[in-house]
Amino acid sequence: MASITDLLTPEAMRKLETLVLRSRYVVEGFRAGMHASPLKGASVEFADHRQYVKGDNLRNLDWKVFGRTERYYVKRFEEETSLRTHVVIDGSGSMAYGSDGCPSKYDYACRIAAALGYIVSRQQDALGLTIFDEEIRAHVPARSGSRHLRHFIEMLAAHRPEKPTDTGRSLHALAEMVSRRGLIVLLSDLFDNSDAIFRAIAHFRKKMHDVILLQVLDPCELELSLDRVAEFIDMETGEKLELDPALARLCYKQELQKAIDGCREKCAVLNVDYRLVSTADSFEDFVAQYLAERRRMSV
Amino acid sequence: MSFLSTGMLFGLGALLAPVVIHLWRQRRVVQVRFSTLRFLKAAAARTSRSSRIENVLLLFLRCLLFALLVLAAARPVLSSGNARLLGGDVPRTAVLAIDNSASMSCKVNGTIRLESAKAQALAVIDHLKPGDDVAVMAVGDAPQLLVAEPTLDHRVARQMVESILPGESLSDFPSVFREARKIVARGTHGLRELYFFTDSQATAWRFDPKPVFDEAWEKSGLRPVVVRPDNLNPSNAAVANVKISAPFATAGSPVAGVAVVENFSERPLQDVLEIRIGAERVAQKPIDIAPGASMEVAFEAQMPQIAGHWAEGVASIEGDNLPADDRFYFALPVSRPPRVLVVEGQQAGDPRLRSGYYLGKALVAGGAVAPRTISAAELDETALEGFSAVFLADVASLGDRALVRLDRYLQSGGTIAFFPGDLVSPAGLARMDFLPAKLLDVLDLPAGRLGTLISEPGHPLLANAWDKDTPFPALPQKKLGRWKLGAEASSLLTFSNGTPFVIFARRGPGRVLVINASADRAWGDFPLSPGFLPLVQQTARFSSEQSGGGTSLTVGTSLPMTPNLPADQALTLKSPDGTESALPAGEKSVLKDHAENSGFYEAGPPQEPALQVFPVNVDRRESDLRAIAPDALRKIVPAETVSGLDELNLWLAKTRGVVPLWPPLLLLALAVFAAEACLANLLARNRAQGDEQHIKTGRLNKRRIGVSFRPAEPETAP
Repeated sequence: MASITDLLTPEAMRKLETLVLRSRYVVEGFRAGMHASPLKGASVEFADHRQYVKGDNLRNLDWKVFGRTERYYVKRFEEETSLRTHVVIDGSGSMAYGSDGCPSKYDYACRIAAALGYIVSRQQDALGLTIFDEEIRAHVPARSGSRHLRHFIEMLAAHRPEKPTDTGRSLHALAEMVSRRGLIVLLSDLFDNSDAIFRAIAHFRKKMHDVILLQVLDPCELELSLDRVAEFIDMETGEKLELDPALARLCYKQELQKAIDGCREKCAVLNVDYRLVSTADSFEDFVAQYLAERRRMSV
Repeated sequence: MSFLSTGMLFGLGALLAPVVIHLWRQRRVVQVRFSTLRFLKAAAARTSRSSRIENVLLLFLRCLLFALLVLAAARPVLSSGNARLLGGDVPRTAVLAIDNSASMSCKVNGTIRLESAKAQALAVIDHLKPGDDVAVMAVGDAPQLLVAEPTLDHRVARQMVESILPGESLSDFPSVFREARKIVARGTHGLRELYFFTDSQATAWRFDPKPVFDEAWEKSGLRPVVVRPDNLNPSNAAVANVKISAPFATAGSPVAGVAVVENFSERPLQDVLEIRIGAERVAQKPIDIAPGASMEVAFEAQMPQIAGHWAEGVASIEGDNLPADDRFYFALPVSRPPRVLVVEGQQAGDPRLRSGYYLGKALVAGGAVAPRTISAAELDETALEGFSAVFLADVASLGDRALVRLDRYLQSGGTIAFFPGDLVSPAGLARMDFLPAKLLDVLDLPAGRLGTLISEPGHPLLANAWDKDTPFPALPQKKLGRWKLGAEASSLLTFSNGTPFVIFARRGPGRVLVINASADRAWGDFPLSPGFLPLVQQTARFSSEQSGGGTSLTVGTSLPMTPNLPADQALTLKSPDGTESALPAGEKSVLKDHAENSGFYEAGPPQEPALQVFPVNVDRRESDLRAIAPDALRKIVPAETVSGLDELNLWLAKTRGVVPLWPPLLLLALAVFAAEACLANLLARNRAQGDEQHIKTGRLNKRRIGVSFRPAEPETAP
C-alpha cells in the first residue's frame, strides 16, 4: 500500500510546508476558508449595499445610510470559503515514457500531484483526483482530510499508464462531473489533439474553474538526444518509424516548439496558467518556484 | 583501352568496402520506444528523403573514388587514332642488346641487374605487335648474336632473352652499335630501334664516338634507347691487384706482398682483407677506406706447404653488391732452378776457355740446373720449350729455322740473353730481328777497367743485386761493341764511356737482353770479374720469373703458350668451373682464345700436376658501377635514356601510340574526393544543427506578465 512518503521525501515535505496554493478566481467552497467566494457572507470585508427586503437580518441594516437617506439598506460582506482543488492526471501510454536517468512522465506527474495534494491538505482545502487516458479511469471527488490524502496517493500509485489517450473526451466528461467552481490542475504531456484538449479546457473555464496546465515532458523528448539511427515505436499506437535523430533533430525541435507555443497562445487566450516542466528538474523545486511566482503575481 | 598493371584491377574488390559499411550501418538500427511519433513524423517528412538521397550520393561518391583510384593504379592506356597516324602502328624492327658483362651481376634489392635487364627486354617484346620483328644479342667483351636475323617469332626472342647468363667479361659498347647497325642493314622495315639494356657504366662509355657513330650509323636510321636499372649507384669495392715481392713460392719461406683495394662507393668501406694461399689463410687485415679512395694493404705471411708446381692464392674482401670483383686470384710458381740452354758460337779451342764453360760454372754456382750447351747449328733441331732462358754466346749468325724457333720462343714468354764475342759482326747480327739493338762496330779499348752506371735501378734484373749503394763492379774490358738501341730498348747498365753494357727490351711476352761483353775472355776478363757470376745468375732468375707467367690475366683475354709447357705433348686445360679441354700436341701460340671465367686455368700434360697456372680476374674497370649521366650520354650518342621497368613501360606506352589515362583519372579522383568531403561536411553540419537550439522549460507565460491576477469577472455569475 502506497503512502505519501513513497512520492515525497521528508526534505521535500519540509520545503512544501510553507507554501500556499490559492485560486486566482472566486471559488465555491463548502465551508469557510481562505479563498474568495462569489457569495456574500460573514467575513469582515465589506462588499456593497442592498435594499432591505423583508426577512433580512436587522443586524446588517446600515443605520448611517438610513439616517442620511431615510431608506433601509443592508450591508453585505465578502464570503471566504474553502478551495476545491482537482488534480487531473493524464494516465495514457505516452506518459509512461522516461529516458535514462529520469523518471517516467507519469511518475513525475504523480510527484507533483502529491506535492500539491500535500499543500492543499495542509491548508484544509478539499482535494480531488481524476486519472484518464481514453476515458476516465479513476475519479475521487474533492474532499479534505489526511485519510483522503492517503486515498489520493493510493489511487495515483495504483494506475498503470498504457492505454491510448483521448484527452478532450475525458476532460469534457470531467467538466460535467465537477459542478462547483474550483481549481483544476491538469498534468499531461498534451500529446493529443490540441484543439480537442483546449475545447475541453475552455469548458472548464466556462464553468468558472481556475485552470493550471502543467505540460510534463521528458528531456529526451525536448532535445531528441539520441545519436544513432533508430526505429521509433509509438508507445500508444505501436506505430514504427525509422529515422536518423541527428538529422531530424532540428525539424523535430521546431515542430515541438511550435506545438508548445500553440499551447501557450491558447492558454493565454483562455486565461489558463501554463507551465512546461521537464522531468529532469527537481519537482519540489518546480512546485515551490511555481507557487511563489503565482503568489507574487496575485499580490 | 588496356591496362599496364592489370594486377591492380583486383583492387576493384575494395569497392565492396563502402557498400558493406553502408549496409552494415543500415542493419545496425536499434528499436526505441518513444512517447509519440507526431513530431518525428513531421521531421521525417522534411528530412528523410533528402537524407536518404545524400547518403546514397555519399555512397556513390565513395565507390567512385575507390574505383577511380584502383583504375588509375592499373594505369589504363587508350589507343589513339591520332597516335596511330603518327606512327603508332608502323611496323618496326627492335634490336635488343642485353649487357651481360661482370657489372651486370651486381645484386640490388635481391635481384641481379641482368635479371632486371631481361625483364625489361621481355617487356619490350610484350609491347611489340605481331608485325614487328626482333633481334637479340648479349653484350660482353664481344657481342653474342642470339637472334642474328630479325624474326617475327617473338617466342624465340623471349627464349633467347631468358637464356642469357651472367658473364664476367668487360663490356664492349662500340661493338653493340656496330652489330646493331649490321643487323638492321640486312633488310629490315619500318622503324628501327636499338634497345640497349645496360647499367650504363661511365667507364664503358669512354670510347671515341666518331668511328662508331659515323655516316653509316646515321644512314641506318637506328634510334637507340638506353634502358637502365632503377638503382644506378650501388655501393661496390674491389680487390684491384695483389703484388707479391718474391718471384717464387718456397714452402716455409716468408712472403710479403701488397694488395690494392678500391672503394667505388660514396660511403666509407670497413672490411677485412683475407689472403689465402692454397687452402690456408695466411693473412688477414682490417681495411678502412674513404669513399672513392683506394688503399694499399701490405701483408706478410709464411708460405704454406704446396703440392704441385704452382701456389694458387686469393685475396678477398667479405663481399658487397658485386661479388665477382671481391676476389683477386694470383699464382706463384713454386721455386725451382732455372733451366738454361747455352748456344755456343765458338766451338773450337779448349772447352775450358769457351763461353759455355764459364756460363755453366756461373749457373751451377747459383743453384741452377747444369745448362745444356749446344752449337748454333744444333739450335735448328732443338725444342726450346722447357728452358727458362736461352743464352746465345758469341753466335755470329743463325739459320732460318733457328730464328723461327727463337721467335716462337719469345712469343711464348721466353728470355734470350745475347753475349757477343769475336765471331760476331754487324752483318751477321743483322738477321737477328729479335735483338733490341744493332751492332755498329767493335771498339778496342786501352788497358784498364771501365766503370759502370746503373741506368734503371728498379729493374727486376737488378733488383736485390745492385743499386746506388751497391754499384756494379768495374770491368776489365779490352773490347766493346757499339750498339744502336732500338725504339723499345733501354740500357739498364751503362759503361762510364756512355756505351750501353746491359740492353733490355720486351718482345711480345718474351724478353731479350744484350750483355755488351763476351762470355769468354775474348773481349776482356769479364768471366773472371766479380760482376760476371751475379749477372749470369740474375739473368737466369729473371728468366725463371718470366717463365712463371707473371701478372694475372683478365676475363676475355687469351691464355698464351708458355715455356713451362712442352710443345711436343698433348695438354689438358682445366677451367675454373672444373671443365677440362684437351689440346693436341704441336706448336701453338695460345692455349685458349677467350677466358670466360675468373679463377685459375690450369694447363699441363694429362693426369699430371699443372705445369702452368693462369690466374684470371674480372677486369677492374667493371668495378666502377657509377652510371653515366643522361646529358653526358647524349653528347656521345643521341639516345633516349629510360630507367627502371615502370618508366620503360610508360615510355613504351607513350611511344606505342597510346594515351595514358591515369593522370585525368587521378584528377577526377581528386575532384570526387573534394565533393565527398564537402557532402560529408554538409551532412555533419546538418546533423549538428539541431544541437544548438533548446526548448526552455518552467518559464512564465510571457503573455500573462503584467496582466492583473484578479481580472473582472469574465462571465456572468450563475
